[in-house]
Amino acid sequence: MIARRRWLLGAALLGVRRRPFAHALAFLSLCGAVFTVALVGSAGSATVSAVQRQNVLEWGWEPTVQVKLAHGVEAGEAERWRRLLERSLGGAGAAEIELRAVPGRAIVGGTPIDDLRARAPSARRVWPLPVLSGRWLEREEGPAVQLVVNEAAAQAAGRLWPARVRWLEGGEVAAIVVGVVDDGKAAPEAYLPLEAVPAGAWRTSAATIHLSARAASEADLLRLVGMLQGSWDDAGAVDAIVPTSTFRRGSEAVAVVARIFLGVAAATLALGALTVANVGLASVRERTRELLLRKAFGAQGWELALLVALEAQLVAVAAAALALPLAYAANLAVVQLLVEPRFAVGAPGFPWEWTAFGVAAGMGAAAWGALAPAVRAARLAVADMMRE
Amino acid sequence: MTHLLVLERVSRVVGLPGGRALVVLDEVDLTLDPGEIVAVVGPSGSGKSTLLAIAGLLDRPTSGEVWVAGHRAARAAECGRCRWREATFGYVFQRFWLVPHLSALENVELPLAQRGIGRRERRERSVAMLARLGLGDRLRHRPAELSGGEQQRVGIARALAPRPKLVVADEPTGSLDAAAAGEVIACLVEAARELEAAVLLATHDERVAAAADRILRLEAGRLAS
Repeated sequence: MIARRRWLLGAALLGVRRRPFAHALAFLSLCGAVFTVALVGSAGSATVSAVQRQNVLEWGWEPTVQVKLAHGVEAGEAERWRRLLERSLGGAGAAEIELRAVPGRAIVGGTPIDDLRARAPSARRVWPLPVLSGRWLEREEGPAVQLVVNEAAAQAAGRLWPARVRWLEGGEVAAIVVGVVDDGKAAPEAYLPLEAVPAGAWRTSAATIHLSARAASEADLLRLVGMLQGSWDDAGAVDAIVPTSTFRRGSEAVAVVARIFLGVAAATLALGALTVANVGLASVRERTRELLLRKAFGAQGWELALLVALEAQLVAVAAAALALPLAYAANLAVVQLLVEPRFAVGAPGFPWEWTAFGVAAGMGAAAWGALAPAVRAARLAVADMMRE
Repeated sequence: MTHLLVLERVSRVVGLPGGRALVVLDEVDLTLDPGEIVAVVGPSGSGKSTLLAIAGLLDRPTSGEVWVAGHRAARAAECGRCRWREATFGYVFQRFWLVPHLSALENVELPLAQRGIGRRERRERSVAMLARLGLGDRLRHRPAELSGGEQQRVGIARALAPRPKLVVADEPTGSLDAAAAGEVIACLVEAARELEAAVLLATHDERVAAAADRILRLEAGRLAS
């Protein structure tokens, strides 16, 4: 059955070749539509990802709320607060502890790294930074403290990994570097597991405990802060940080741009469909003789409709083939424009969903535009041939 | 023997503004046997083209029946009529109806391609048919580069290349001068006889009709003989 209708493809190609200028117009129009749709989607999602990443790098925690318990909190107490936050936010893993400004220094390859941070091992679940080499805080049996250093520290140490950690109170312990992380920071930093920090270090004034927690909304955050301030002895020690603001600002900017682009995309799609309709109707009018002949030779009405629709689809596919690489290139440019250079690590992805959606939108616009010409072609009255 | 084509009390009524009706064909009976060449003659407006359109399954009668090789066709579904058109009929039109942007060869190939005939075979058949009609040196010429007589010969080649059982030719010489008309009708009749195809021919020219085996006269929508 398909082999019997191979002529349709040949006839459609012939139709496109016959009216190059009109079809070029439809091609450009659909090209613009596919380009805009693909760009809106891919650049939008890539920018959101980049802003999320920026947020992660800035705050060390992807989601929305951080609560700083000033200092002097024991490990057990911090853990109690973590559980409280978790219960309040309704879910295991909703809150994590980070001990910042650990009273000690890491010495890697002879280079001292003063910015030492302790994280719960589970933090890596919610802190999806790429480890460039080695592993990321894998538990290993043995006395050595496991360190992950950032790229700046790795460069400063000349990638010589003999390492140790020297606590301000409590002497020096052996350490191994298990990973290099690209955290986008210029200053050398080292991360180590929370469990490696001696109990005494929690009470020093140099230590700051951050309880990082996911809050779904601003209201949740306010409720959380209220609860903490109401139950903490020293209300001043509770400090709420809202890393969401960065993300929100970024997202809002992206949303505004996306809305504008979506409007443009809708307009270009409508324009594309109109152009296809216009070109298609003119083509059917001009090719009435050929279409009627085909009908006299045995083609059915739906086959002529399919022929007209196929012509439009050929143009749409060609338009998509040009538009998608252009959209990818523009996507790179847009993301670099919207995201701070220090956070734009690597090229943003080009989501296949948006690639597919761009092609589908172009083909959909072409199908919609081809509807009227196709119906007209199907309804051509073959009896008119004898009356001419 | 089963007739190739039978028209049984076929009428065609056309509605006019003001609720009036015009009877274009009035209970016409006609039979056509395989290989037979029949001419329908009559003045302009007598209903020749309508008769041929109905006989060629391009139009439907208001009443009556059309039989094609023993099958009822007047009220058959459109897809069935399409299949009969493809398998049984070839058409020659007064104004040639060649596709202007295609060469003579491509015009002849058009119905063959639509029947799913492979590129090589349809080229061979088209070239042979055009050569048979004296256009072997005009294969690549477009219609605008051909004379009226040559264009109609391309039209005849296009009708005959798929080897139809019946060629419906509506005023095939209507747009030609007398010399070209004689040449074209001779081509049509000879090629049709060679292929054993029947021809139903409409004309107002008695000289053209003389080439047929049988002549039917249509006057005001009725067959006179």
